[in-house]
Amino acid sequence: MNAQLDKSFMTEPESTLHIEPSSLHAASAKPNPIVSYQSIQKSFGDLHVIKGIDLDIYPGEKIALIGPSGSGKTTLGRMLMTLEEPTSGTILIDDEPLWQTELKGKRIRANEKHLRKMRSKVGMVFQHFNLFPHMSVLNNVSMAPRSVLKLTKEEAEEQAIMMLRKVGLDQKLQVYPSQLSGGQKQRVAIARALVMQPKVMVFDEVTSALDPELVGEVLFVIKEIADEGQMAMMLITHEMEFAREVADRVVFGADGLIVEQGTPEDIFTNPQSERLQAFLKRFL
Amino acid sequence: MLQLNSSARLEMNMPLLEWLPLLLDGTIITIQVALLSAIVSLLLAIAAGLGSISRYVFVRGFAKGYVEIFRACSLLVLLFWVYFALPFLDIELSKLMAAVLAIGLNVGAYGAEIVRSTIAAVSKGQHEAGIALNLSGNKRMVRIILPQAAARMIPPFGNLMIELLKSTSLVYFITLSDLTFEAMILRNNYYIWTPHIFGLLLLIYFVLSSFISVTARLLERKLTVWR
Repeated sequence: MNAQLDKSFMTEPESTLHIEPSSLHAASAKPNPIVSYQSIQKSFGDLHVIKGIDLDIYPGEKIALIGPSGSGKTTLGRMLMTLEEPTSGTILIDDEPLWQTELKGKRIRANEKHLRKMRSKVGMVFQHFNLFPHMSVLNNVSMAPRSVLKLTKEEAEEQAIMMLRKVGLDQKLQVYPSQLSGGQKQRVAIARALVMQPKVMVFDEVTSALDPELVGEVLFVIKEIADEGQMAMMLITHEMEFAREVADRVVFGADGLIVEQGTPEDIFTNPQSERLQAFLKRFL
Repeated sequence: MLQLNSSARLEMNMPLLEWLPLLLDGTIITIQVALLSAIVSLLLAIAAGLGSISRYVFVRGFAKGYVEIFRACSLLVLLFWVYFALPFLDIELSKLMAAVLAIGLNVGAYGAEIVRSTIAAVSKGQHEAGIALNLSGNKRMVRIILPQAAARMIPPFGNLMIELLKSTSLVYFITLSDLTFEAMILRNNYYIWTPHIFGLLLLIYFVLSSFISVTARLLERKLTVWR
């Protein structure tokens, strides 16, 4: 567990183009990680948000990222969704660099074509839902399957309805987002991301913008999806109970570094670092 | 007005029927100029508005240059330039074409800013949701951003089109026989009725711009059913 932790402290910032084979997992019997953050750093101007993170996520694994706000959790998720580019380091998805591509044997900064190929493996649900307000619920969910996966209208709508049924909103197909509650909006957003069948999905503080009484329905849906298993999930969350219940592994980050990680048991009942102990105290 | 209430005038009825054919001709010309320059200005507005957010520096520079230059031009001077100066460059345009070109260029520059700013006003989250669904850049623009921007464009474009309608009266100065031009002729012939003639003129412009208001409102309602 602490091998990765130590590495994140020790590793010198690497050049963007250099990729170090992940020796950490070579010996283990685990499959290759679906996502591998390697020596990731990120700055916004003078603000050094992520200061060197190594993190592997395995196929089907549910990871909860917890930590104080400003610790870089969301940035980590956004980098995976290609919404932010790392300042240095490498992110691999399925062993392929996300932000770099090969051209005549040389690694260069990824172009849009490469990013689109990689994006097809990642999905994201946002804190503020970001539903398309001008489209009905059905169109919100069936639009991308039609225009990206090139399904026919019938196929796309069938898939969309199936996903909406999964989140309990197949009665609201023709309704516009403005007529939904926050919890319903977020469930539509989950269906919209699910229908693209990503291999890994980022849930970025998906309940933080919700009224307290609506949090439950959204977490319930996510729990159900998690129980289905195949998709890896990165849950950026402040819901400790939820993290404990759903996650296979909990990663605690603070000040742009991973401070501690382990099973929910380890993290919540036997926290090692002072930072984590102090952090958890606030949730008890 | 009281001075004009001469006894001679009180004995006459307002010769409205004699005015109508001229006013009608003028109205038709005004509508023609307004419609054609509206089309030109909308096309220019969309082209320059989208151009100013293009990924290509050259296109951006061109679009922004157009907006800055033609927004700053006095419409009347531009009109004079197109009609009186272009012939010196061997470009001779009819009065109507000159009017449409000058008004279109000027109003299009204002419209470009409406297009650009309403696109910019669509939240960043909408772009990001499009990226997360792996939509291509063009699809994001066409399917997500533009429909939302279009709904916001309607009220300012309604204003702009009313401005455009009223600015068509400037074509009087290149002697295009629009509504204002005809009214000026009537005024020469029926001097004592001047208040009535110009009153009528204002009324016709009001009716015409009401059409624009109503159209804009209907269009806005149609584009915002989702709100």
